Amino acid sequence: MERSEVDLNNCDREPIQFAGHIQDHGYLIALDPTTLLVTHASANAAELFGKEQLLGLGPADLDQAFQGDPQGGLLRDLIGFARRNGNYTNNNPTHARIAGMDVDLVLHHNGRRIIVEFERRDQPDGTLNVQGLLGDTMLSMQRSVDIPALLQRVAEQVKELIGFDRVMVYRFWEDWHGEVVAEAKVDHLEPYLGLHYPATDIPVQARRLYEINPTRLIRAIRSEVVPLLSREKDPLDLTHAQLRAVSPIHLEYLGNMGVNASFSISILNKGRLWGLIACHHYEGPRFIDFASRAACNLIAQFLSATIELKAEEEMRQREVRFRTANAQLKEQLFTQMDVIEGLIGRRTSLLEITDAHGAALCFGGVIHLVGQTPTREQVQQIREWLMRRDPDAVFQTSNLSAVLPSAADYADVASGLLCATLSNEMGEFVLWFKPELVQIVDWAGKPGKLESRTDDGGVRLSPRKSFEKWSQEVHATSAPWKPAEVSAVVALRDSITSLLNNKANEIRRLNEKLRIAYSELDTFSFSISHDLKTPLNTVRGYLELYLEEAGEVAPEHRGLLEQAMVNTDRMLSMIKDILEYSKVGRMEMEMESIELHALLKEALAQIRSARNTDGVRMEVPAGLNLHGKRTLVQQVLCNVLDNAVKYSRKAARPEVVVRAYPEGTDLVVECKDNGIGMDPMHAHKAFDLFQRLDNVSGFEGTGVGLAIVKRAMERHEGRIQIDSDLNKGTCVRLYFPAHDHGNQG
Amino acid sequence: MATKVDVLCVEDNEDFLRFLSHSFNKLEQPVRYDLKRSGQEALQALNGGQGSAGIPRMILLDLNLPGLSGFDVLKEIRANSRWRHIPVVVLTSSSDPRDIELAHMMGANAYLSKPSTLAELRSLLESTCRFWLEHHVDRDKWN
Repeated sequence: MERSEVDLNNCDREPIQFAGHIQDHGYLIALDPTTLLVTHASANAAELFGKEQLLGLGPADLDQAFQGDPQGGLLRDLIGFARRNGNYTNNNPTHARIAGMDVDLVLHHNGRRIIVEFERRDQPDGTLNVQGLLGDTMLSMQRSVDIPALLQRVAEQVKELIGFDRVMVYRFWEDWHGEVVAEAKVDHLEPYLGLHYPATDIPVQARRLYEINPTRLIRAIRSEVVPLLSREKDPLDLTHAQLRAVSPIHLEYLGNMGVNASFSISILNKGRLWGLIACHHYEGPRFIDFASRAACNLIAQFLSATIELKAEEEMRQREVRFRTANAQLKEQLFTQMDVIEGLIGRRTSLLEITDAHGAALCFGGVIHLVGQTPTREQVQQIREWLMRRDPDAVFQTSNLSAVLPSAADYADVASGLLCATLSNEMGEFVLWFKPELVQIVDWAGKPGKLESRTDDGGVRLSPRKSFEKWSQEVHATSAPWKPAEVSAVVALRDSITSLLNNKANEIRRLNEKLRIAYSELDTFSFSISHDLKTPLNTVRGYLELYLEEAGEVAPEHRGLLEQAMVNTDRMLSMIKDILEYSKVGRMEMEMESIELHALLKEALAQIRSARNTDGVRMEVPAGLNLHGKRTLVQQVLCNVLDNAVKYSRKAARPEVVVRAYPEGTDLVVECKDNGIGMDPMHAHKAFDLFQRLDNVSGFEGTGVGLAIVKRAMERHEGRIQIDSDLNKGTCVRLYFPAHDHGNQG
Repeated sequence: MATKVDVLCVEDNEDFLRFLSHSFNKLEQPVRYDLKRSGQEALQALNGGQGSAGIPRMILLDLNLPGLSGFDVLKEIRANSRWRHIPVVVLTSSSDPRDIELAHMMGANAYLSKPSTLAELRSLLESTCRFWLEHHVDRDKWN
């Protein structure tokens, strides 16, 4: 590939490790590891060795060129030693003198070729006082309290060490975009601190090289590049080479910034590129010799280890913080037995298990907001959108408006959404929001300091342009959700669903218990009543027997026995009623269509003969039908009519009126009397078993009649309503649900 | 076969037996009755075995009996040509509709619930005996 063909659009495909050129401050030869003959040589190398050309020559031919080497076999010995030890780089660099120049020999094996580089040492500023500075640097780094302070310290120390105009620590984010997180510079330069760069600024193959070859010096961006000569077709892999020429696009980038020399050192975290120490020099070329570069690499390695440690510590602390908050939330949930109270009503709020700035709880038809959130209406929109989308247990995005366009309106507070689904059917979610990242950067104010000095239209690559490009790329994007945040949310969701399940199961369990208890009670009351009846009958029989057989009994004694009999009878009728009541609950409901008028006439006939009364007026048209169990409905009507007649019989002019009419979808049977009535405050007690109200002491009865009516109405899925006033009368309304009660014409 | 009793009562409850004999003794028209405490005893008596008083003109049968139940006794009676014609009135404390239906299906002539007072018991016996003894005798004669 011709060097000029690379531009912004394809630079991520540029094979930069096969540059085919080297920088001009050194020389390079490559040897075949088997034959030890030269396969590649930089165009300037032949002159160094005083030869016409080097290709095909062996170490013996080359070794002649070294001066002050009494043994006379420097290259041969170095290579021989490296081959024996299986390591080519351990002894780098080796000082030598050749063609009247002091050079550093730097060896490596790229897998196919042995590569020997010669770096000229006769350059200004080349050698630094590394030893003295190194110790100080390590010490001050160790003393830094946190990562930002450590990085700032490193920037300052490296600047002091290598004397470049600007030293930045550049950090890669998860999406590989970069941020300048620390900077040391000479005063008059504009700061780059806080700028973000799109991931394309350092393309993937460049990042890979940074991982493999940790230091990279570009001595002078405007110097000529030296081509490599070879008879082989395959280009030479210069991944590990020190002198590798620079990608033209990178040179342009640096040139636009006014940079003349650049040096970078990789910072790795667990073998993965964490960041770079990027050094820029503006005034003329700048050389750093191999030993000094190695010293800087040592600092970077120490920094990597420290960052790894501190990052792990920070991650651990964050996880501990999230876990602790989660444990507290769980405890709150299960102490309160309430989702809302547990998540937002107590000391620890649901906001604390993530780094979100806001949260919303959509639960029980209400939206609760915590922290910086969209408006309630906007959260409602998110909720409805989620319901349509039917998300998994946990859903996350750092670019909500990409999937929900209307979210662009509130991208500033909610570009990031993390959602825990409780019930999609009911639209119950817990939501966490993260603000737009650019907003945070702008709020911090850092990019605002940047003057667009280089932004003159003719410049296509500059930090400012990069920042703008990045801002556009990450528009409406939040910081990513970290794995610790997602797992905290998963754990919280588990707590909530387990609480809800507990509650649901508890209710189900209680219901089942209640159902069993009811049915047991029915069976129990039936069998106990049945079993009680026989001995009680016997008691009554003997009382009677005694009275008949004893002959003459004193009247006062006879009174006692008769009292015993009255109470036995009372108890017998209670038992009979309980049996009746329990029968209503247990009986099979064979439903049929019943003509109401006819049935009422039958019931009235019974009441009339039993009560010997004529005071019931029936105003019920023929042709009204209800759906029910005939015997049971008849019992209901008899009980209600009987009560009405019974409790109104002491009125001056007893009057009972029965009506029937449809109401809504129900058929209502109404029975109104002008009897003693009930205190409305206590009327509801009339439905309880054996409950007799205070004013009925003069009337016979056990207090079961209305309980049976109520139960019978429930078995018909109907209801009963009583309106009553003391001494004015009672109106009972029976509501039978609609089935086929229309006029049958 | 000579008849020495009018009513054969099968009843295991001592108390009720007592009420029964008391009530029988108070009837306006004297009735000869025999009391048996189990189904086996009753069938023995019908068979002319120990304590037999011959073939009764009517049987008053409880359902809940130890050993052979009232239903078993009823089945034996209806299966035997010498006894088939005897009216059987069930007198029991069970008001279970299934019992009532079964008793009728198996050939009971009437099904009565045990009353809760002596007075009721007496009038029940009075009317039952009058109906089944007098009317049935007549019908017997016609047959």
